[in-house]
Amino acid sequence: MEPILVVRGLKTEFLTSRGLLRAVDDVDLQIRKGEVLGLVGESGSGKTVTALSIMYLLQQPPGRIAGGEIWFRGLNLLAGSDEDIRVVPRTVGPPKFLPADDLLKQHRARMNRVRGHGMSMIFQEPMSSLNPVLRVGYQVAEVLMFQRRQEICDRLLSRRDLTDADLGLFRQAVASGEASERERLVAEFCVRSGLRPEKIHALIDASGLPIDERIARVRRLAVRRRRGGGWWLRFLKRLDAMEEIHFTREWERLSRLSLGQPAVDLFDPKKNPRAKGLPPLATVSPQPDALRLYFHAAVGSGGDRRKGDLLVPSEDLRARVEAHLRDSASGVFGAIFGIVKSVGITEDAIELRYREPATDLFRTETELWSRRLLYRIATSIPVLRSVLARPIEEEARRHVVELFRLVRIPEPTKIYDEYPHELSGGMQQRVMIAMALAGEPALMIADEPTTALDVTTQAQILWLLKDLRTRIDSAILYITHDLAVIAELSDRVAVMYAGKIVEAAPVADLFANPLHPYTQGLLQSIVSTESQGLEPGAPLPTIPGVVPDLLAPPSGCRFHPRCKFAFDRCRVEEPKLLAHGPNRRVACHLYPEEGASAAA
Amino acid sequence: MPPPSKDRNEILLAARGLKKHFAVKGGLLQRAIATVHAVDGVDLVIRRGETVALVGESGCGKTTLGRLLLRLIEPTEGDVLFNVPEDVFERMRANGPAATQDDGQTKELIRQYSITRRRRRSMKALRRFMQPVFQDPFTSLDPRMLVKDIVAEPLLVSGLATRPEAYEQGARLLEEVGLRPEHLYRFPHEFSGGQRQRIAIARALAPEPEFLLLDEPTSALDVSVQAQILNLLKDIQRKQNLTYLLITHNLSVVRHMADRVAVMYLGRILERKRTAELFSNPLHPYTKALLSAVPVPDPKRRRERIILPGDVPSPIAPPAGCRFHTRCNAVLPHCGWSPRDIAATAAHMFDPSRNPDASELPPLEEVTIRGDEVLLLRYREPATESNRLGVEALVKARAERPEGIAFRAIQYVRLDGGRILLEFLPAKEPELLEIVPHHFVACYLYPGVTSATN
Repeated sequence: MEPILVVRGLKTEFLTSRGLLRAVDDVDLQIRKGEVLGLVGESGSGKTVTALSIMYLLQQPPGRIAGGEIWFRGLNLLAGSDEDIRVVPRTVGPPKFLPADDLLKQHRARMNRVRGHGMSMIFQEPMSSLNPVLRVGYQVAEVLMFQRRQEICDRLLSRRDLTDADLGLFRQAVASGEASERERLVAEFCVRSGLRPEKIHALIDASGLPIDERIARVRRLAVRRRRGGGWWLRFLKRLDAMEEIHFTREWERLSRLSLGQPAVDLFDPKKNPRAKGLPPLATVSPQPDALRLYFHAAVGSGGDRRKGDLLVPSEDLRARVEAHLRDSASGVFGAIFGIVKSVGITEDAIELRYREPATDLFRTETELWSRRLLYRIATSIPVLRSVLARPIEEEARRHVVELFRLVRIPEPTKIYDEYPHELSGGMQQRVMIAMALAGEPALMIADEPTTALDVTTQAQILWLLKDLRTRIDSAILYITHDLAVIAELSDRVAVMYAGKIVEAAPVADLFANPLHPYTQGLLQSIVSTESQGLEPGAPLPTIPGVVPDLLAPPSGCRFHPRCKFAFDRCRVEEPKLLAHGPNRRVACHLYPEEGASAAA
Repeated sequence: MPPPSKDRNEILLAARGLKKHFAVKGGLLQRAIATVHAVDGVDLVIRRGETVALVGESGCGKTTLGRLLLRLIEPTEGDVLFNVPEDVFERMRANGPAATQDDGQTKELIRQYSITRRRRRSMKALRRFMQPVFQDPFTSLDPRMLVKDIVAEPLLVSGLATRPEAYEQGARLLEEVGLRPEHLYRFPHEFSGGQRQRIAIARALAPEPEFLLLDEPTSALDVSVQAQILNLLKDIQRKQNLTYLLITHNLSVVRHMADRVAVMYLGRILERKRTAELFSNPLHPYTKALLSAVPVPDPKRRRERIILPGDVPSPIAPPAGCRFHTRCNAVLPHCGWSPRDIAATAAHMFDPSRNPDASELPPLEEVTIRGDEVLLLRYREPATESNRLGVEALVKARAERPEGIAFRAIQYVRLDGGRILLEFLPAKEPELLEIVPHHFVACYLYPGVTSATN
């Protein structure tokens, strides 16, 4: 399956008073759709910094992404974050030159849209990530109002009168004796009728009312329900849709311009052994609508036509490039080059032509700007703002109650109005998960979500994540130092040490046969309730020493001072992350290269 | 009173009917409006040289119990006995487990060995024998003190050494916990979490204690560092014949460290036994759930999991009867169901406007809870005998459904002056009984064994 997130050669640095600290050094990761990738390592190994870099939530300065690419669903997340790109080509007219500031602003706005809907993060300590002065329900609703306002408007616009079927639901809810069943029926009734669940619950719980009186009151509530304001909802919907397309289009353009490095890595036979059938790559030139590949005339290729030093492409070469592209479609490059529609020939280059960019919803940018202006004016008047926002807030509230039910918070309507300190640790973490789920993300990053919790609560949360994964099909990057948790949840594991990935493997293989000495040490030092053939009271095997100081990392392999297998080569030469067997990669001199090299 | 260091008696610490209630203050005058039953009647014996583990979820009172044992806080009721000879302890116990019906002679003995009845000043001499190691080494070390001062402080405070001696001792202690003497002249922030925990251990070891209270010593640490710290603790215990009380929620640590385990829930001990037996044969449903919650580091093993529903109930109003019955998956009718467990459902079930099955009853006016055993139903018109029979039939039908377990606890349905009374089985808390030798369980699933002494 195609990866949704591809991280290539990520380098993150911090400028400290004692020097430059490289917390993440040349990290490659990929996560496929619906997959759980576990990222393991001791504290200080760079797991959290990797996650923060992906979400672009680093404190900058002192932090800085110093290199690498992050591709998310075929788009380059870092495009525009780098000051070097100054040209924004347009489909019509000459390219526009932008000062770096503008690009950064655009990048920031784009990341705001990706976070939440595209990917979201569950943080380690719920108590310090939730706002202590806001009700927890509102904090989740805020995400919805920001991320999914279009859908909320849609739901509001599609309201209709109560039907007999709706009232039937209400009757059932009144008659049902089971609290959970009642909750479910009320929730469904509220989704259909657009009424507030707490009002319905109050009506159902009032004792001694005849059923006809209850129904009459529901009808009255439904009539009183706020109507009108449809023009505003339609206006918002269109504005949001336009913004979405505007951003995606700009983003696609920037991403296409940053395809140069991946193209070199894919098509240059010196870098990618699978490209051996191709002549040496001279240069690549990313254009807004296509990527041009220029090849050198190889020494032995006398039959090919030359033009100076460059090769004049033939139909045969085009076919080879196309075949090579097709071969690598299932991996990392497939995710990055998925936008290539066809491969063509120009007079001196092979041209990878892109798909059409996102369609235009609007003729001119004037419409977008005028709508933005109107929105600004309308929401700058406090009274008007609150009147206009109220129905959206109420609808979001209903949605939040559903989300709370999804993460199995008991009595969601009551919890909505509570403050973070009133909830237990497990409940707080559920609220955080609900918040992360609110945007229906394609990727969730969970940064040690259970480390601060009891084992029983941890079991509940892990079970919840597993359950959610099957229900909403989102990929999870799970960060932890506890391999036992990884065994419960993940499909694949990447082990990180001192800012580098030292081993990556499917979970069953890693546990059955850990290759890297660090992984072996981690696995052995797990204290388990199972006996592991260890005498009670015998000392546990440990990894001696501590994680190195990243300001002055050890020479050669960074693990060699703690490694019991270390030999001379380990002290001098840094091992590369090389393929070992079909699905595994390991960075250790103990494992010879096997003729294979850096996996694609 | 015999100085405890001279004769090293068999039983180092023992809790007898220990209780600690905290008042919740509220209102304008900050008056006590409720009571938190943090520790509610605990008996525990810690013998010299052994490691006892105290296990439970957060909020179950294990940390409070640890603090009580060191007399860092004063108990509401009960005693902590220190350094008791075995025969004296047996004599005390002959009168039964509770501290209430003690005769004069036992009272005298308790007064002699209790540290909770001592004056504060005479307590100070005992402090050096019991030292704590806390959970979070990032907050338990003073950031403005050098390591040498941190480690030397207990020695200076208890007057065991002069300043130069204390520093010398400090260097020796650091080496003992695996740090180097040059670390003496650094501040806590220069160390990693594992190293800081080592410093905390060195500080606790400084006055040569006999008992260490380990309050979640590794839960703030990485898995790899955790193993190092556990090895260190084991090593020190062997060398110095120390006694540990290990407080943790992580059963895998318990397996490696402890000789005996006590499982706590809401201020009470539910199960107490030797470690190996706890893992091979857990009896209490709560222990089983705790065990199954520990993740197993083997992706191929897919185990049946018992997921406990919900959170620990509030210790302000702990459930009647067995405290665990609200979350138990093996619950019985007589586990202590009370009117508050079914009040909400009852308001539904016996209301003709909401439950079609109850249509022949008059309109329901009010549902009230009276005490722990009676639920009152008041109807708009005085209830008759036929109404009573109707309610009884509803209760019976409900009790036969699997989720209606609470209704099986309803003993009688009575008519009382036009109101209907639902009377429950009396809620009694199960006692901690010895089921198998040295294996104590408080659960109605294991009845019939009368309390025997071990």
